[in-house]
Amino acid sequence: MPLFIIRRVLQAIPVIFGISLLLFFMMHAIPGGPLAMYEHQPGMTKELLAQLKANFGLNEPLWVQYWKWLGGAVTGNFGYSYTYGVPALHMVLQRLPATLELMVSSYIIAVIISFVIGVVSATKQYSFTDYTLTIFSYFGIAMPTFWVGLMVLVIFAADLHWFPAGGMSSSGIGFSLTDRIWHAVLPVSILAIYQIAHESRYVRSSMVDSLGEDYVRTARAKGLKNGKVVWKHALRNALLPVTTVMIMDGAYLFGGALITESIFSWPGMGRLFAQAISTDDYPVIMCEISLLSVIIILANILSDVLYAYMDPRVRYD
Amino acid sequence: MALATEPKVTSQTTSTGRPKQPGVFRRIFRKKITIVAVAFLVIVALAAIFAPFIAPYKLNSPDLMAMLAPPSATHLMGTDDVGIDLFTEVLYGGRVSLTVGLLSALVAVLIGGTIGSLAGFFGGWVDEILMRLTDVGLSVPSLFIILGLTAVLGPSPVTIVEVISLTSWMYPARLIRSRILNLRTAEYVMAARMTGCSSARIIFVHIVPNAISPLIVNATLLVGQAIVLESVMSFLGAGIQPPHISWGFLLNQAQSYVTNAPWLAIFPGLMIFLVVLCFNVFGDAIRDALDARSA
Repeated sequence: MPLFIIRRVLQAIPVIFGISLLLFFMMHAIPGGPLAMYEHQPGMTKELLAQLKANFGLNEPLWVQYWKWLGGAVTGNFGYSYTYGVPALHMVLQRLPATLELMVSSYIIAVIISFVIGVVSATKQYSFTDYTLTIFSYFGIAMPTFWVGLMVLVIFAADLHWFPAGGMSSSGIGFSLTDRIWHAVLPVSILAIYQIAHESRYVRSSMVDSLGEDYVRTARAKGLKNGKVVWKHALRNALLPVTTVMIMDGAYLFGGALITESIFSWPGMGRLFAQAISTDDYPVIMCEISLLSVIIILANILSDVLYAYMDPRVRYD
Repeated sequence: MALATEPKVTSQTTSTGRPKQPGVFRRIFRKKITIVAVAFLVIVALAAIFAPFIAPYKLNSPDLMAMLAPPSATHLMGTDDVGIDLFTEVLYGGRVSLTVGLLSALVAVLIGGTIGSLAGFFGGWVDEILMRLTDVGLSVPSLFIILGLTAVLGPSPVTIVEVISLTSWMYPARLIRSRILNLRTAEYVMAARMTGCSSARIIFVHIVPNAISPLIVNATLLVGQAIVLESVMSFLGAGIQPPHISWGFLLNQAQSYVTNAPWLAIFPGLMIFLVVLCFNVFGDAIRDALDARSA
């Protein structure tokens, strides 16, 4: 097992190298390059710019530049935000807790509901309930998250005034848990919908497979209660393929958070990214993409290792 | 990662290695819902193509007497903040949304198909390098990369197609590679080799036609995904810019009037939703029709 983990980590190295090349290419494709910030400053002359270029090492061969950039990125130096002048990494990390709050709560809710929906659909295959839930998931997958968010905002916040229209908490009342939850209801549900629609399908098909296995019939034959057979015997084996999907979904949830945060003005990483896009704040953009790539690679490794750990059939020699 | 298509697709090799010949089309349209979905897609596509003839108003002719007018007989979907007929805008927006969706899916499948087949045919270090490249593609936060790249390269319909296809080719590549690896050792391919067929004949006559069907399924689903991606980009202000309009762009514009003119947000979003839904239904129907197990 430790060997498998080490090998899996080693395999990630060329991937990380590839991503860093991609990001480096993006840095250079930026209009004005890394000097873009200085170009438009008052009193900037061509000579000064050339001087800066030399100072920054931008006239060195590309591979030297790449090496230096990589060195900076590894030590967390992603440059300074063009808009706020503070370190990009600092800004992104500051926004991380808000995003995590949104993601973790919707993730937990989505996983629980997906399991319930998936298992119920599978045990009542081809029933009315099954068809209804299938249609729901078809709709959930096809509906663009941002549009649902917008509609929900119109109905529940603007029209009915049941929930606040955005933000993380009401201003000027200090910390209050109910207030925080009240603010989180809409964005968390929106973020969870797609995940539920997506994952409940996996749970369903995986459960359908495992309910058809011989050992499930054996368990039934020896007189076990149906609930126990379904939730303990069958579900345990159905978990295996689903876990991988769920871990990867967790990493991709950042994409959903980007959209949800923009709609509900949630002060997280996603909204920061959307703002950085609209103000061409390249260091922040690059920093965030780099961080998320690392997170996704780690999630990838984690899901592989977990899979190997849970499934004795996977050989890790 | 649209893993959902994988398990069914791999079981498609029959003992003769050919997809079942009779009635593939009839099997695709076995369910009524598929007929409805495809009919809807055809209508939307025709409406977009013939937009100048169907549209009740000219695209950029604001009716200043009817600003933010709700849907009515004169303005089927209402009007926007300067009095432009929304139905007209949705018709024209469909042109860009559908074109970007179809082109992105096509390019993604072409890139993925080429990379996957090269990896599958040649194996060895070619396979190793190309598959690592695919891993890189799968390990990037694609929505962020898409938005980052368009910010760097500047938004234009061409750039949008490029960045969407650049982040969607990985799945088709893996799909086609695993198909080809399976088919390379399939009995009928060995038989063909034994009867003295040239490599080129084996590749183009025996392997490619059989490997291509899962790719068609995937392409259909990719169109829906690409339409959503484009609309997300445009909605966040990083996609389609005037003078072009798309459904996503219309939603971006609708944001400011969402409380007093909700129809501006309802109709373009509904179009995206229905079109994507129909593409998914269509894709699933093709998959079921090509799946030997469900025949």
